[in-house]
Amino acid sequence: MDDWEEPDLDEALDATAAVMQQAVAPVLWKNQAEVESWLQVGLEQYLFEEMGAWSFPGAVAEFARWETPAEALQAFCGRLRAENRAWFRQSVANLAASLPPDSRNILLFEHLLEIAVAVGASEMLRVLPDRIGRGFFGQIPDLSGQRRLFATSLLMAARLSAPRKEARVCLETLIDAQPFRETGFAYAGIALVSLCRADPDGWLQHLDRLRGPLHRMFQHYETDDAAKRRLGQEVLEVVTLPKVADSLLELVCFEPPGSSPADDWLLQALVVGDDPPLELVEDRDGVLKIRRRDGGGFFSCILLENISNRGVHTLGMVRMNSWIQREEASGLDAVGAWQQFLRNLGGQSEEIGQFFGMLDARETCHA
Amino acid sequence: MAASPPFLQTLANLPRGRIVLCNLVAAVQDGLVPTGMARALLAWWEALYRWMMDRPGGAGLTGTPEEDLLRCLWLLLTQKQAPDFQPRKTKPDFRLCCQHLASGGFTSPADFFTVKKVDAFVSFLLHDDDRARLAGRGHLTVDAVRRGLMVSGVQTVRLKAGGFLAQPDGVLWVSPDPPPTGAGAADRARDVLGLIDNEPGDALLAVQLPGDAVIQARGRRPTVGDAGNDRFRIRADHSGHRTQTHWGWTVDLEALAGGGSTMDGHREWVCEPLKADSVGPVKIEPLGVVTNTRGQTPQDDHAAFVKRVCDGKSLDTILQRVSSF
Repeated sequence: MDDWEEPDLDEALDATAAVMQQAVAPVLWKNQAEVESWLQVGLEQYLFEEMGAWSFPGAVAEFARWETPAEALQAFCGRLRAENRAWFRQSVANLAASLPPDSRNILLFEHLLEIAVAVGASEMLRVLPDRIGRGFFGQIPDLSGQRRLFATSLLMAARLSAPRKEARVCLETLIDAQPFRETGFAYAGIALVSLCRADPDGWLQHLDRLRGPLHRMFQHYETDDAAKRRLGQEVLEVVTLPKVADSLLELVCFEPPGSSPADDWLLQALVVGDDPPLELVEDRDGVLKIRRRDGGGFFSCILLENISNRGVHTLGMVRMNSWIQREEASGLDAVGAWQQFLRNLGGQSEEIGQFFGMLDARETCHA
Repeated sequence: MAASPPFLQTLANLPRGRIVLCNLVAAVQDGLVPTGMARALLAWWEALYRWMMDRPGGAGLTGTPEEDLLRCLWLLLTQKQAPDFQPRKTKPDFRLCCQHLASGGFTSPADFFTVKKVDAFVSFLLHDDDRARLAGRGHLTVDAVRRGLMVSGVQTVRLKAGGFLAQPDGVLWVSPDPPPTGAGAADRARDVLGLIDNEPGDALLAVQLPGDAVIQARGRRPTVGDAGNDRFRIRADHSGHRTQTHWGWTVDLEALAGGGSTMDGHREWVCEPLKADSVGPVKIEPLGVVTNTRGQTPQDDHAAFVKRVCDGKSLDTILQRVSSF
């Protein structure tokens, strides 16, 4: 026989009337302090007392649809009024700033980072720098735990990054932290794109800061050309073509072997190789046009007379590399491609001819 | 005490409520669950709904009555008993109750598959060393995660220690049939697995799990007690599928929208949430991003599905059956 316990339904019930009653507004707090308390108690009950959805009175229903507190609280936050939403976001940051850094709270801190991303609490970017390198990071005895907290922090900052000073400061603090190195600079690419998003005008400075880490990341993780191209394209997207074009030829490129890390990968990603996103076109009026190959009609012009000597060097090397890569693609090995290139040097190749033509035009401009 | 007639009437009047009732009737008729379980489930559902509506602010129930009723059901099935709800009673565990277990001649599949959102997987399930490796190889930029391009092809990764596949008090839904791959895989996987709640922009990936782990975690056919979504169905269309009584079958959303004579998708099971530590390394494959919605047209909305799932039973017939539990 079935043995399923049943509840007490001891009151007369008009269920139809009950379900048809007006929907009620979500819980409203009277002030910011109430929100902070609600959030802290809720997270503690959820994480340490295993109360599940019931940890968050007023937001319980959201846990029916979502698997994690961050997802459920994101949906809950979306139903709040603007003032309550602002309190909620600030509460996430305030809690992260004030949480005692004991080992029990590490899990809670990690959840706050995830909730910050979910609800778009960019206020977190202001408080995070003060917690990096001490506090929770110091409480974690094992390196892998420190790296986990660091990675979660950096990914949070990356996803919240927007053109704001606090985003740049937060990301720079994370980049300077010890765990950034201890991961083999695994997050250098993400850091570059995020910094460029936070401060597009300073993209060359960010590249300077991360040139070495990127170089080591590429080596350590054997990052392939397709991934480098995706990274270059993301930089292009967040910095935008005009700013990239203005400085493209000033990148540190094609340095002799054994010298410091360079930005070859970015030029390779953007203008060299198979189907790059950008192309360089010199016209006979002494203008270099840098344009997207996927159309749109927008391009950036640089007067050849304004290109520095480094720029001319870079441009020539871009041309040369493009040519050699095409030869390699057509079946020649690297040595054969170089030999072919050298045989054609002197204007027999259309590209090389264009390059020398550009130099002539520049000389004419300067004259 | 059984659920009240007005409550049952209300459920029967609402399309999503009727989907649950029809599935309960089918599960009892087919011997998947005992009558007492169906009766208790309805009574506890009503009790929880009444209790929540009595809380200040409706305890967060702010949707339509239909939405709130279904949320109560999911909370009942996937969460612990609330501290002050029915304090003298113990809420039964309605999960993993199917009585049609695999028996003689059954060969366990070597692997099962489950589909997860990329965002949540990277944040909560991916081991830190693999997260760093994927980041270092350029597969984990914010944009790559958003577009579901996390990795190219199948990769073996470890899961984060202490992580759970599925909510700790819920169940994990798995299928022995590999999800579609290639162009448009996310949309196809969403359709064939009946994942009606996945929306455009959701980046999905498939996780391949060892068959042994699923078997040991009480893997079995799902019933209403396992909190399926609004396109869960007890009975398959195809007679050959119905004879395989130890398998559930997903509803293929594309077939539903197209009005096909059968809308059976993949075989499916549920099991206890798998602990990352017990699973070991898993293979993952990105499926891309969901690009369209399902369930919004007269051909595949809740009302259309009610017609298919209720097998032509009238409202009175359904009420009569559930009232007799």
